[in-house]
Amino acid sequence: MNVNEFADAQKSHYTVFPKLKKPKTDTRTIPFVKLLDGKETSDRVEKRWELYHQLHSHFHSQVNDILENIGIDLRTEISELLFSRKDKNEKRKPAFNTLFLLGSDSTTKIDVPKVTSGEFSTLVELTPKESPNVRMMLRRSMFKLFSAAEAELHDNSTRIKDEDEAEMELDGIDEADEVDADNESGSGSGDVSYDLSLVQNFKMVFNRDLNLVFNFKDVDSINFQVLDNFIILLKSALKHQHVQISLVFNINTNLSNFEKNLTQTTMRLLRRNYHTLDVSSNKGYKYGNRIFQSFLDTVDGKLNLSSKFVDFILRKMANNSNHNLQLLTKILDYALMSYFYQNPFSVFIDPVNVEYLNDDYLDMLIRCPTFMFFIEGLIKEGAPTEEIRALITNKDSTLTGFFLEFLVRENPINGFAKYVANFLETKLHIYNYNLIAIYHKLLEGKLETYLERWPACQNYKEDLKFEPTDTIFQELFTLDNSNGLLSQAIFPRYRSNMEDDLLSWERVLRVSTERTGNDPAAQLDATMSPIAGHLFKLYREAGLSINVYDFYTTFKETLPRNEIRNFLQQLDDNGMEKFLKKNSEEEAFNKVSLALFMQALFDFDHIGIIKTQSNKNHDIIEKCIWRGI
Amino acid sequence: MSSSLNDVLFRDYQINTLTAFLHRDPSITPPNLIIQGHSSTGKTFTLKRVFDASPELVNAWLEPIELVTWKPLMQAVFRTVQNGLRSLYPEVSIQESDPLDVEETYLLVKLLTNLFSQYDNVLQEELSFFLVFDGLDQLNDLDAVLFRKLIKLHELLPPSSRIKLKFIYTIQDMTFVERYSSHCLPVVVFPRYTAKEVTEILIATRADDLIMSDALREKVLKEGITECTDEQFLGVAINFIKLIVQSFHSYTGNNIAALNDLIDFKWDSFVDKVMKENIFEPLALYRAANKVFSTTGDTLSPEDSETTEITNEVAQSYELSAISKYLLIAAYICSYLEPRYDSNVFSKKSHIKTGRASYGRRKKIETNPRFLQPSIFPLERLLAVFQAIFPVERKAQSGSLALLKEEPLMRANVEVFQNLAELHSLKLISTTVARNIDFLNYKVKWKVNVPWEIINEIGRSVDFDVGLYFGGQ
Repeated sequence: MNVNEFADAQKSHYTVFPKLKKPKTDTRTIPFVKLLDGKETSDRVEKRWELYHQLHSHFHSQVNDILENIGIDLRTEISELLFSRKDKNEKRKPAFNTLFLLGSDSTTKIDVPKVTSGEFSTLVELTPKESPNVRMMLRRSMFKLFSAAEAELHDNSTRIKDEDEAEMELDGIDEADEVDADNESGSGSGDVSYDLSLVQNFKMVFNRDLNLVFNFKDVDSINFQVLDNFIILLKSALKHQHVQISLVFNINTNLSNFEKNLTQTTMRLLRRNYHTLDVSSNKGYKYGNRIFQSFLDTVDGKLNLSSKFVDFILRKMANNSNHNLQLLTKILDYALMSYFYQNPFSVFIDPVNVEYLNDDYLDMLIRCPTFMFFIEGLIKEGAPTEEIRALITNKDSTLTGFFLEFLVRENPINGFAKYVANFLETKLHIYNYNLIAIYHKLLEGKLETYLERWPACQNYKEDLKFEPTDTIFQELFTLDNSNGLLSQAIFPRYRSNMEDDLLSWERVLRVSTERTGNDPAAQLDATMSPIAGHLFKLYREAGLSINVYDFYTTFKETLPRNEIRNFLQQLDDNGMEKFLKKNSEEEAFNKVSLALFMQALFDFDHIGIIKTQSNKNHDIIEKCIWRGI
Repeated sequence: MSSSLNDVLFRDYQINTLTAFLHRDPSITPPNLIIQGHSSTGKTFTLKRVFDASPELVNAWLEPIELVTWKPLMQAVFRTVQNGLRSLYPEVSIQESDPLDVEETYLLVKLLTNLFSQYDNVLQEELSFFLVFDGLDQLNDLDAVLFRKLIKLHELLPPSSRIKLKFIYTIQDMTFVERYSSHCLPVVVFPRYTAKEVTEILIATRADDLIMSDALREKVLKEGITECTDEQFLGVAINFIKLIVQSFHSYTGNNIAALNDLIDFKWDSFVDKVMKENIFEPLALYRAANKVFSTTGDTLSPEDSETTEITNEVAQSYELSAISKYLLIAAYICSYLEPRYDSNVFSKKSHIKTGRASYGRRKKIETNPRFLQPSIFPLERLLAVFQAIFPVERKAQSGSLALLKEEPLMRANVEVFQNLAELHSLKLISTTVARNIDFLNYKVKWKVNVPWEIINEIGRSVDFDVGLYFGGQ
């Protein structure tokens, strides 16, 4: 046997790279479809797609900037807390420098100051997986410390090693067989006893003070008993003069949860010198405001947000306390996409494209509610009939001109929201306002109710007065959640969807509309829902536990007997012919229905909506879901 | 000798016993000595002072808590002995062995034998080498055999060698010592200090550095207190320590370490209350600083959080969203209300609701279910109760077409499951199995993990009276 073949045979798994099908050259690359009943020309679709892309990438580059800024702000703040040395109070007991990062998803990076001739700082990160017990935690962290120190100070350390060979022995840096998986990557200088003696003798070996930062990731998943023991263990390293230990805890639950799981002694130890920092960027509205603001800027103040949509954003953000910003970005993103996908007028966001305006668009324009309202107003005012008629029929392209006029007009709310925000910050020094809420109240014209919470605003009521006005054609340029598309797409109901589909299967399966009378399969399809759907209807009506036989009988009785028989008879299949010959009509139907019943039942079992094997009584099937929950 | 040990308070008997046991001459020194006493009873301190007072005793210290398992402990034993001897006789050149070679107990014996034999020729007289295991029972992976190995080690070492290894163990756990009582090891017991003793020790150790602390100095300068003598300052500090011990004694017991911490934490805020007027009047000072002594302050969360921000938003107690709160309340109801009452309590259909038929024979429950363990429930029931209690605002007017579009009930969408997952990771609700859970599987049973007080508080924050569901049976 060939060596390669042999090696292949020993493999536990293989990687197969599927051959990609060559994309068909003639397929559309744009996922957008032609609107206006398909009358939209393809170059306009393309334009819409381009425009959407521009706005989308612009928005995202801004969001990225904002998020990055969060990171940078945070990192400087963390380093300041950890490494800014206040004058060391010698009289104080040695204590950990503790930092609690609240609401952290453990991705926060910590900048470690550069190694200086007097001090070596290093970061030791411990994940819950790396921390099953104290021994492993200690070994891992000491290994990380040692390898970092080796890498950083290699030149120095080799020199020192030559000088103080004897002392090196003392530290136990020698050839011994420490069997540790981590050791593979260890440097060539031999193995080390990975315990606190390394910290103890650090000054002697590397001739520097040690500033050790432990970053405990995802603290909530670490066994607290182990963590407690580990902290107590580290405590004994504090007694050395040259060692400074900082502990960073990434807590994504809350502080009291963390607190109640550690012993009081440990908590007192940590409490001697601690800081808390909320990194979730959900607290306060600062970053949410910025993202929302940048979205408003992105669409150039032209797109409006409907009050329903803003309300939707607010509600959903309140429901998700941890990933607010991501959610906000996602909702805005999706809204923008669906707007460009479904609204033919989106192409006019860029006023250059106004040349595309033709009768197909105008037809829709006239039916705009705001426009009709406007016309109504004109009639009431007794404006000349020709003028109104010209507007409606676009005689001498009056309507086009009218539309153009409103196209370049900015939405006053966007500007005013910005103004209010600015006003609050500069004049009143209020920073914890929610821009989205302000926007929502502006849309509803109830800004005062929001500002009531700050008594200082009462004096500036006049300055902050705003009357929302309806701009003509605004519904064409409004992001909305009127048809519940957003709530369905971003917050789907898993199970209710499945239940609905089982019940009204016509929604998802294609029903052949023309009734070809002689095709028995089509006939059967027309009279009967899919088996699983059929059974689910019965399931829905039943109580908690269902007798299998009753279930089957009901199922059989409700099946369309004649259609099934016809279908079977006209099947061009030898086996089926034999089967029908052997059995009487009644028997055959019984057997077929039983087969169908079993099939549906197993489907249910797989979907997980019935319990079958749980109880010993095989006569009964237990329901485990209720519809509509 | 005992004259230099004056600063060790209330441990005269123990010091006498220790000095009786510890000698340079190994023939009158027991090979193993146990010092038993709970934490902060002065074991280590006293022993250190005894060694300090008699420099002829050769000693070395080990901290088992740092060593975690037996192997590093064995290695540390060898390393410490070797280093100790080398620093004791720097003039003797010996063939050093690597401590990491100690992989087994027999290797320890071998290496120690080897080491001691090199010193045999040099030493004139026999010598006890005291090795102190400071807190042996705090070794993380302590097993039953290890201690036995240690106490019998001296039997394996050659009797002829000049250096005799003597082990001293300080141990907190009395039961640990009792487990080895058949070995008849000498035990020196350090009883707990009494409250009075604790006060005196704290005054002796802490009063001076409290007076010298920066906080007090700054305050004195700021307040312009000039005519205060050192003794009066001392009086303030002593008074403070006494107050701390008196107010927190029921909380800390006679734990000096805990009291020390409290003194550290509270001194600054106490000093802050010192003024020209009250520095000479302990009673006035106590009144001014009353708050310092009324709570332990053993919490990280700031207590005055209400005052920090003025927001009229819905109170975010426990930082949960509304859905989470209702889910938690639903979980509590599921855990503490019997399923048979569900239809009675939650159904809006009267024909299901009325009559005994809906929940069987009415029988008074003997124990309030609140005092029992939470019972487990399937997820489906939780979702059903959640749907029943979650308030859905209906914006459209009744009878309008828009009303038909609105959902009358809360359905379990992704948000609900997200919040459920969050509650689970917060350990506010838990599952019966801990590992590898398929959360959506119907076999997984859930239970709530919060007590009545918290659920009541959460209920109040969303204007939901949980008590109504448990009031009249």
